[in-house]
This record gives sequence, structure tokens and C-alpha cells, in this order.
Amino acid sequence: MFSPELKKGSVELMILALLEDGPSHGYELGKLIELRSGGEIQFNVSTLYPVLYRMENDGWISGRWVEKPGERRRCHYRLTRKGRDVLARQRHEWAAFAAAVNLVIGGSHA
Amino acid sequence: MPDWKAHIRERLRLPHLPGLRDQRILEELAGQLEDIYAEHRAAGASEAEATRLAAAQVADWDALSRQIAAAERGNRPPAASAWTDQAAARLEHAGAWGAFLSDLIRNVRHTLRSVRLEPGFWAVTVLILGLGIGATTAIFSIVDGVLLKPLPYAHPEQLVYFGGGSFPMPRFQDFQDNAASYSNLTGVWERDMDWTGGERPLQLDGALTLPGYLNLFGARAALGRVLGADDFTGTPHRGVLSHAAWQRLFGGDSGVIGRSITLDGSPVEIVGVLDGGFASPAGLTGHERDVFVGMDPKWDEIQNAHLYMLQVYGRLRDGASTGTAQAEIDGVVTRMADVHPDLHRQRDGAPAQVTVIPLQADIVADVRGSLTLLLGAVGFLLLIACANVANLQLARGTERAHEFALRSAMGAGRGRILVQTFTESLLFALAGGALGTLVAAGGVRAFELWNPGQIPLIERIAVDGRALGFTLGVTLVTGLLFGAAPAFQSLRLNLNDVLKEGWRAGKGPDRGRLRRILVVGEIAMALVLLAGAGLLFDSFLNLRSVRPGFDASHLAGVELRMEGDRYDRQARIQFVRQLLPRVRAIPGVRQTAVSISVPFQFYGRGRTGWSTRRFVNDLGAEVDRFAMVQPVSPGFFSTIGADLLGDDVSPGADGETPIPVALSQSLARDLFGERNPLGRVFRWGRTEEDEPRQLRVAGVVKGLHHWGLDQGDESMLYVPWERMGAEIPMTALAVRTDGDPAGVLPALRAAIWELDPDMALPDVFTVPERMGQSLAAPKFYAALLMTFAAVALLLAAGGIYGAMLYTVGRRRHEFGIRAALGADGGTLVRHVLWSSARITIIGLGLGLAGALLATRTLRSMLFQVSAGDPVPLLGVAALMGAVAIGASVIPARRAARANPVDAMRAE
Repeated sequence: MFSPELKKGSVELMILALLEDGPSHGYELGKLIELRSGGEIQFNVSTLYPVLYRMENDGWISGRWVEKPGERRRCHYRLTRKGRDVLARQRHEWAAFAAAVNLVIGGSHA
Repeated sequence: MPDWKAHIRERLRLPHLPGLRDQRILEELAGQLEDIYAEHRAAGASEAEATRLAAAQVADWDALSRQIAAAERGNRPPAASAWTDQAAARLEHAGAWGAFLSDLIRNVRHTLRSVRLEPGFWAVTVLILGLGIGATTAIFSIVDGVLLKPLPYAHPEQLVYFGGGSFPMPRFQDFQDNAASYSNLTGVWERDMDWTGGERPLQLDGALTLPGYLNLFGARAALGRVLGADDFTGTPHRGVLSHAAWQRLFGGDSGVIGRSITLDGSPVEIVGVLDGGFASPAGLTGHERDVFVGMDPKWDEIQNAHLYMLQVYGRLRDGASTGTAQAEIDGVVTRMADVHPDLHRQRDGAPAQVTVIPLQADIVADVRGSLTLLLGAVGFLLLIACANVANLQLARGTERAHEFALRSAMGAGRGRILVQTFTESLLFALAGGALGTLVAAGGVRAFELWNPGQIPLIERIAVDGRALGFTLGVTLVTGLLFGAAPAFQSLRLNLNDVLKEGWRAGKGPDRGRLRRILVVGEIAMALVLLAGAGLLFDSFLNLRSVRPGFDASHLAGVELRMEGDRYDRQARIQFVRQLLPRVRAIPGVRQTAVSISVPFQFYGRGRTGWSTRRFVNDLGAEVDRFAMVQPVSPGFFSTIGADLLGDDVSPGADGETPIPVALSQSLARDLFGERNPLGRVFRWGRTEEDEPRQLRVAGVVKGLHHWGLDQGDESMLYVPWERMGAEIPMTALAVRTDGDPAGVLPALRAAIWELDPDMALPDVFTVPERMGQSLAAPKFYAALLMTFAAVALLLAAGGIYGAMLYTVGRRRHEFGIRAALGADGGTLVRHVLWSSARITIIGLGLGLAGALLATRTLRSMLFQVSAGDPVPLLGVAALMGAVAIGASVIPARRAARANPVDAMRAE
């Protein structure tokens, strides 16, 4: 398991990246992160929700209520144009950051 | 399962958030906890264990509250919404009105936010409203421009027109001498005038005006002067040009003042050019005269009791009304009938009545009915659109119900909730109104492009301030109409039920009944529109299928103007004798002949030509029958391809008697009953006045529609042209061609001008084109009404589809149980279709009753269809029914897929 600080720093990037594949709702996003990380990263509601809320306020993602037969309605989030830009930038920064950190800590030299 | 909302509400401390954002947060958090709870339960955890695990998701509620609040602060709202928030907050504590306004601002912002959340719903609603409001505004603009806007004259309400045809000058003199209701009673003789002396003769739309005519309509000169009191006597005649004619004929040359031009062979001095803004009554109907020439009431030529030429206009004195003026003129006619019986009595001896008509009513008389009908039809369309949108609003159902319930629970009075509902519907309506304005502008433009003709004042039609005011009014009423259903539904909510039931679709108060009522109304109104459209279409098809009784497709016509001093009877005969062989020699011309008029040269209710009514048949019986006399040259019938029994009208020697003639079948029947008319001799003319003439029936013409497809086989008497028609200037050339008649028109002109370079040729036409024009108006109204009906049908289908979908959604549970109890898919489909059919049948019943009433107004526009004709009515009802049932198929099939397991699980 990773430390909360490490996780928090990257949660926005993960959400943006997941939403790039298509709209998704809060619970599903949490599950997807858990699944894709092989169970290594898990967020509880109290961490994930305020981030979604803030991201929506910032206009990176937008929520829309969707009702499906036999289910209660859920707020589905999707990436906005602005969110797409942020994702591209953060991806780039993340890669540069990870590479720089690797240099310092003597990780992969490949 | 625990009530997660209650759980969260107890723990989460949120600052005041604008709109209903706090509700949204609550719903979403509760939803996520519920999902997690369900996940653990599915994994086998006990209820208590699952509850504990889900609750553990949020360890520190205060921290979560702070994070959300921080995110909210980090959200920098746009300046406008910050401003509105501040304003709303300030107003909140400023008395009752302040609280109302503050609420209003919040409602508006809340609604705008809901647009972002549900864009599809908004788009559909605004589109439906936009089309409804737009169509209504467009038709209103037309009705306003044509029927409602006052005429562009000073005190237009004082202006009147004398109905009852044109008047001979001496009769007008009697009116002028005896009627005191008018501050100005005057007249005009509108006639074509040939302008010669230029390169080519031109025909002008002329007007011989009595003193006072131009003043009556406020004419002002842009150049020179208008006609003064002295301009009506002496020679040369004096005239003024309309602004458009000055531009068209003289290129706007100011040197035209003082110039003399030759009109109908007489010199006329141009003394002025009228202001560009001037329109005479003829101008208002799109036929502005080119030149207005002063006419002396004392001219010898017009002192003729049988020259019906003067159209009479007047301005009522202050204090006089059309009513008093009518009473006065009735008195004058009765009194003067004894003094001048030849002027004021009809042939049967009764006084000839005159009707004093307000000018505007006279101008729009022909189109008032049709336009009012369109306005009514489009009003129906708007009502259907309203019902549809109300239905959509109700469909949002549970969400809103819960929202209202919450607001009530939080202390909002019913008034405030109503205000919120109406704010929202009015905002929808305003958006629809904005779209509608665009639709209306496009619609009016399309109407102008596709002007069916015969619509007066069409240039005044515009989406202007008045139309926009109307749109705003319609928009507000529309908003109230479609907002009423959800609003009153919201008043009937049982708060407890809603809050207890929660958000689940398919629960909560049943809006089904209200929705079904709306759908019944939609179906009924759509059926009325369909019935009207169906009748007009049927009538149009009947009209199109009428066989004209001649070969219209290869016929061209030319009006031959053999008038004025240059032509007398002999000159006309000479001209025609020379012309016919030349025309026959034109390549592509098969045959040609002359007559007074060519079929369809004049169409419609009016009759232009030579009419008569007294005959004495072969048994000596007097027959009083209105008939048109049509002098024709030999070969006329084969030229037009008419169906002639017996022989053609032969020219005959000048003294030959009885004169061989042809009759229309209808006149033959009137004269001789069922006896064979061929060879019978009869008398035409009144014994005491005209020289009675002995005629012999040489031929009978069957089913010739000379005056339009809707005009029937009119009584016609065909006489030899040289012998009896050449006395009359009015003549037309009929030309039958091998191919497209339009191809020979230039050669026809050339052939005529070769013989008489000074003959003006104002009317050179092909009959197929004329026939198309005669059908333009019925086609236009049928097409427009059919468009309305198609939209109505679509909206009604959408309405029933929505209502059924809603019903099926609500009863999913019930269907599941039915399925569990062994009902198969077919049974469920039939069940849903039957409930749709019940609604449809009620709607159709009401609609049929409405259609029977409403289509009566169509009567005057129908041809060979009766307004209450059951066949088209039942036809459109069947169509409506089929569409309604068709629209229910998808919801029905959804019901058939109801899953018993779902039903059990929900338990």
C-alpha cells in the first residue's frame, strides 16, 4: 500500500485518465482505480468525493444525472474540453517528474 | 437497508450552497454508500457488517465537510452569478417583495443550472415550443399585416368604399348631390392605357381620377405638384406619375415634369411625380397604378348611364358612421329611383342597392376567411405543443416531486413552490419564444417567397414590434399553460409519501392520469387539424382532377388591344384576317383563332367579357339565364381542343339569318330541356330594347371550363366573331402549338408588331401557366394546413409514446409480478396496447366531434367535398389511431420484457 500523500497527489490524474475512456460514476471510478491498480490503490468515499466535487467546480469534468431502468439515478461524470487539456499537461508533468525522481533515487537507467 | 441520506444528513455540515447543490451532494454521497453496502451484501456480509463497512468509508465527517466547502470556495463563480447571488442574499431580508425577488433570482439560476445537467430534455422542450410559438407568430404577422394593421392613411377608419360594382358617372353624380355623410366623395376609373410614341408601345396601368381622389389618400408630390382644382378641365389632360413608374419608365429623370406623353392617343401633360410612400387602394393590393390622370366629371364620353366604370371612395364626416351612411345611401337610392329609374333600378325594377363598406374590410374581404382559418389552425398547433411540453415536464416526475417535497419540508410555502415551477416554465417558454422569433422570421420570408397570389397588403407583413409583442404574449401564456400541469401537480404532492419513497423511479405520486388527459387533448386537437388538412387536400385533388374540357397543355393566348381611334369594326376584321395566316405560318403553331377571351385568361369568380341573360326558346318561352357571350372565329374549338358536338360556328354571310351559333351544354339544357338542341332556332335579346336576333344551334360544347377548374360548365353562347364580335374592342388570340406553348410567344409578338407596331401587348401567356396560377391559392392553403397537421400528428404520437413509456415504467413492478404469475409477453403487449387504445379512442371521439364543428369554417374553401364528409374524416381518424397505437408498440414491448426477478428483488 502507498502512503496517503502519494495517492492524493495522483488521484486527479487517475480520474481524468479513467474518464478519458468514457463517462463513469463515482462508485465506479473508485472500483476502476482499485481494479486497474491490481488492488494496490483504494480510495474511500471521503477521499474520492471531494476531489470529484472540486474537479467539477473547476470545470475539468461535468456531471449529469442518468437514470436507467431498475436502478437509482447516478451522477455520471465525463471529461470536459478543459479536463482533456489538464490531463495532457498532467500526464506530461507526471512522466517528467517520475523520470526526474528516478534519476535522483537511482532507479531504472534504461 | 439503512437510510443513508438520513445518516449523512446527521453528520455532514455544509455551508449554504446556491441552488440545490447541497441536495445533489447528499444524493450522490448516499448513492455511493448504498453501492458499497450493496457490494458487501452481495459478497455475503451480514446486514450489520455491510452497514459498518459502508459507514467506515467516511471516518471524519467534519474533514469531508471542510473539503467540500473548500472546493466550493475555490470555485470562482462568474461575475454575473456572484452578483446575482449577492443580490439574492441582500434581497432576502428586504420585505416580502425582496424575498420574492431573491427567490426568483435563485430559481432562475437553478433552472439555468438544470439546463447543464439535462441538455437533451431542454433541447427537445425548447424545440417544440420554438416551433409552436414560431409558427403562431409567423401566421400572426401575416394576419396582422393584412387584416389588423390600420391602412396607411390619415384616420383610415373614416374611409369607405361603395360596394355593388362600378358606377356610371351620372349615378355617382346623384350620390354626390344627395349624400351628406361625406367630407369627400370621389371616384376613380382604373383602366389600362396605351402609351405610344416610344420605341415600342407600352401598356400602362392608368387611373382616371375625379377631383379629390388623390387627396383622399393623402397623395403628396415628390416632384412637381399633385393635381389641383384646375387640372381637371381643359386640354391637354394633366396627370401625375407614381414614384415607381417614374423610376421604371423615365429612369427618375426630373425633366419629365412638363413633358407631354400620348396615352390612348391623347396628349397628357405630366405635372408631378408622387411621393414614394404613396399607395392608392390599388397599390395596397399590389397593383399600383402608373399614372393618375385628371378626369372632368363633365366629359361627354362619361355621361353614359350604361358605362359602369367608376369605383367610388369616400371619407365619412366627423360623427358619421358606416351605419348612418348606409341608411342615408339607401334613402337616396330609393328616392332617386323614381327620378332616374335608368340609373337606380335593376332590370327587374327593384332599386339597385349600394353597400357602404369600410375600406379595409373591402380590401381584405377575399382573404379574411382563409387567414383567420390559418390563425385558428396554428393556435391548435400551439396548444398541442403546450400539452406535449406539459407532458414532458410531468415526465421528469420523481426528481421534481422529491425536490418539491424537500423544499416543503424545509419550510417553503406552496406559493414559493408554485413560483419556482412557473419561473422554470416561463424560462423554457422564453427560450422557446426566442427560437420562435427566428422560426417566424423564416416563416414569413417563406410566405413572401411562396406568395400564393391574391393576398393584398402582403408587403406590410413583417416580424416587427407588434409581432414581437404578440410573441412575448403568446410565450408567457404558453409558459403558464404548460407550467400549470406540473405546478398544480406539485400542490397535490403528499410530502410524506414522497420523502419516504425516496428517489426510486416508478414510485411517488402517479402523474399518469393528468398525462393521459393531456394526451387525449393532443389526439383530439391533432385530429381536428388532420381533418381540416384532409378536406383541403381532398378538395385540391378534386380540383386537379377536373378535366378542363379542352387541351390546355398546348395553348397560348395573347390579348389583342384593338382600341382607340385607330380601330373600328372594319379595321379589326382587317387586322385579324391578316394576322391569322401569319400566326399559322410560325413554326410550331398548329392552329389559331380569335375570341373575346381564351380559357383561363381570366379565372376566378369574376366574369370579364360580354354577359347577357334574356332568351326566348324555340317554343316561345322566355328564359332568363345569365350567360357569357363569346364571339369566336371559325376553328376556335379545334384550336383549343374542345369537345364540340355538331358544327363549328361559321362566319355566315352578313345578312344570313338565323345566325349559326354554338352553345355550352348547360345553356342548351336551360333553353331546350332534354330535347336535342342541334338545329333549333331561338331568340336572343330583349324585344323592347335591343334588336332581337334569331339564332340557330349549330353545335354544342361539352364541359368546357373557361373560367377556372372550380367554376363549372358555365352557360356560354358562342357567336361568329366577324359578324358580332368585331364591334367590341376586347379580343384575344388563341394559339395551339405542337410543343411547349412558351416557345412560340416571341414569334407571336413579332408577328403582331409586324402588322401594328403601335399595339401594346400587356398579356401574352400560356394556358398551362395560367392554370397553375389558378391552383396556387388552394394548393398553398392545403399544403400549409397539411404541414401543421403533420407536426401535430408527430407531437401527438410523441405524447402518447411518452405517456405509455411512463406508465410502463411505473408499472414495471406490476408487470414483473404478472410475468411471474405466468403472463407471457404477448399478454403484456396486448395489455399496454389496450390502455393506449382506450386513450386514443377517447381522443378520437372528442376530435371527431371537434372536427365536425371546426371544418364547417372551411366550407367556402372546399371543392366537391362537403365539410362533414364522413369518408375523409374517418380516414384521418384511422390514420391518427394507427399512429397512436404504433407509438405505443415500443413501450408495450418493453413491458413484455418485464422480469419477474426484478419484481421479487424490489420486494
